Amino acid sequence: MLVARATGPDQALAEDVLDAIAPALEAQGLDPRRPPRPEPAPTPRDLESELAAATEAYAHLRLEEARTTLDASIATLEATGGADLEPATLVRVRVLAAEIARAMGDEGATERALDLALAIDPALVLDPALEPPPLLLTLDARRRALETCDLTIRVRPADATVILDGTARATGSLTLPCGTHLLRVEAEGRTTSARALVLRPGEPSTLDLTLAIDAPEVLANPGPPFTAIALELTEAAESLGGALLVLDVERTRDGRARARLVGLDHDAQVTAASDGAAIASALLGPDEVPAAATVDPWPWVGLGIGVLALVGVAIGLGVGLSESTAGSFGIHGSILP
Amino acid sequence: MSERARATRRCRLGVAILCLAGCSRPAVIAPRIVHNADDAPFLGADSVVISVERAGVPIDGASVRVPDVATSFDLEGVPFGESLGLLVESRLGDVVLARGRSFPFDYPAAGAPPTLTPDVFVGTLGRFARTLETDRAIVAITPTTNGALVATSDGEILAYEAHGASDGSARLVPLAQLPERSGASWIALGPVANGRLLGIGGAAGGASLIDADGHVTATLAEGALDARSGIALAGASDSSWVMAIGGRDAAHVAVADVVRIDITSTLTVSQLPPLDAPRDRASVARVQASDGVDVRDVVLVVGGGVPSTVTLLEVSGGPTESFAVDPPLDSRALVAVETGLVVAAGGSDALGAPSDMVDLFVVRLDTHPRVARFSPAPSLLYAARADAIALGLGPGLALFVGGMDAAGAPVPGAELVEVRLDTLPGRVLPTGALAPGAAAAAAARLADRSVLVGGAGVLSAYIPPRGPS
Repeated sequence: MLVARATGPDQALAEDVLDAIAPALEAQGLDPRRPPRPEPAPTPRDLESELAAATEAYAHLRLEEARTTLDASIATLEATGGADLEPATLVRVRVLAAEIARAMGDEGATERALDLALAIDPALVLDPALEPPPLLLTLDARRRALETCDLTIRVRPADATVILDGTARATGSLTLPCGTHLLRVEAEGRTTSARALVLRPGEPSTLDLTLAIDAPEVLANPGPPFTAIALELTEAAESLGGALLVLDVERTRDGRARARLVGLDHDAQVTAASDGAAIASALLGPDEVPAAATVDPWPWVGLGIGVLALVGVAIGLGVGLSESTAGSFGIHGSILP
Repeated sequence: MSERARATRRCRLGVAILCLAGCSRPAVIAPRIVHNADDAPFLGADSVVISVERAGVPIDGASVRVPDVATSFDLEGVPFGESLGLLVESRLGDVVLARGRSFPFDYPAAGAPPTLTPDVFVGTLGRFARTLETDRAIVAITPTTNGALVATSDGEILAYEAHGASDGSARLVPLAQLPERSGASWIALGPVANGRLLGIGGAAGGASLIDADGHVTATLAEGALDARSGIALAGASDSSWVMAIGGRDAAHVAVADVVRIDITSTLTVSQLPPLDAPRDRASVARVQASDGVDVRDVVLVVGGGVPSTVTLLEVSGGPTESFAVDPPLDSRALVAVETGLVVAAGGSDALGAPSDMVDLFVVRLDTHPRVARFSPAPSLLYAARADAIALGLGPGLALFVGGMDAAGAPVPGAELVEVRLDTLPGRVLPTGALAPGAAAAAAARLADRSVLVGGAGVLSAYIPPRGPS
């Protein structure tokens, strides 16, 4: 095996040389193009002995020796990938590297080693009776820094723009680093919503956000937003399976109108709420609500009075003759406008 | 009004005239059903159902359904009884859109008619309706048999008569003026439908207990209780005591004092062990908590000083217990919603920015620690707010209304926090908004089960959409 080696621009020259002598080498049964055989991967037994040597050196505070011994093993591991080794062994290598780096005051190397250990075993726990507290703290900090949280975002209207930490994101399920994130949701014809979200490990969060209608804007610019709101009303009605929808209109402090669509079940419990609906009709005053189809009543009034008079007389006679009402009273109430 | 509606009214008048002519029954009452001009509780309904309850339970057969356009109703054969109530619901099919109740009344016999006409205020569920405008600043409200007793910031005591005006609407009637209680801290006390108010401090030291008629029934002399402001108050579930916590003394210095005022026919002051640090405008709530055998009242104190802590106080003056809370928040709204369960919402951080955080504190007196913050917390409020008003609406439900936003302006919207021990951590629901310009400084659930919210300039009525109907 002949390997042409050079540095920098000389590498090309070396390759040319190798090419020139290649036929001769092949004639002798040698393949100059075969990649150099890698060093044999350390067997588990070899690695165990190297780990033991490094551990012993670390235990006796021969830190340089420990790092040199371990670095050789790590270099080999990184070259081969360590695919034939147990994960627990790989974790031990990384933790030992972290221990040595911490003892040598190399915080960066400590964190990198722990990151690699956590990549293999995210649930890694170090024995607090054996490990120094600073290392435990660093591990905890790195775990938090690396942890991710699940967030599901649902917004209405569906075409709202979701900006998370300054970047536009799609709605749906997201995986994010745990911690605090800033969320801003905006849509045409709606008031913008901005809030801070705190995502905690192991607690999937769902944000169900409905943007309130910016009524003045919608009224000032009728068109696509208005159409979208009407569609939303239809969709909401369908999604609620025919339950009652109530349009709730309120005036805000500055006198602006805000509409909210509320679904009620038969116990008058709010089952769903959605800002938005037929904003034009919402902004009508009660007196402006179109009346039901009018019916000329007079042909019916005379007949009605006649029938009701008979009924009234019958009731009056019945009440007058009955003794069962002695323990009761009547309520004749008025419903005032 | 449509022609159909006019015809209906004429027909009903015809029935009423004939019935009155044929049945000379003396035992008749004539309540009015009213609503506010800025609400439309019958809009969208197809009928109005009027029924009679006894102690909150519907009486069989004592119910009538009239069209939504009706202007009167007749309900015959209602059995005499005590603790009666008139329930009015605006419905679309079986769904209730608006609701109202009369104040409870007794009608035990034909010769003993009720002392008040059971008028009914109807409001759209989940909305606030402006009932009164006033130039006074309401700071405390407690329910009475026909409305509420309210105190103002300048020490005036008024009766809020829910149907006292000639048209069946509300009015305020001045009852007393207590200049020494100008700027006082007030707390509403029971009994439930015949409440009292206790005012502490203000322009002078001491305290005054006010009954439902506006009379001062007991006082504490100035020397018995130093003049203080910003006191946080919590009262016993049976109104037998009030705890006065922290505040600022006459030199405007925050204090750590804890005082218990026992309430019988007189007021008696007991000094309890002080807090760990001075607390000014702390948030407090009385909570009933279990010690594994019995349930007793304790007081939870949140924020109001540095360090920001949650402190559990024993009414007996027993050992307190504190833990630091992060982030530190002051000016939170605090209310107990279940045995051993307190909801805290909103507040302001160290820089004065309002918060939208909601926290649950669980109190168990047979565990250590006795109080803990529950994790995970409920979702956030829809609007960040400091100094909001919290009001319990029955088991597991609390209303948070008003408060201040980042600019110091009143937050109009209200939110319900629904949380029960079996559905922790609960959820937050937006509900209604105060009228433009209204602010909330006090709230109480009246005997007709509406919520009266008062502040500077406006009194608003709210009909809860959830909770015990």
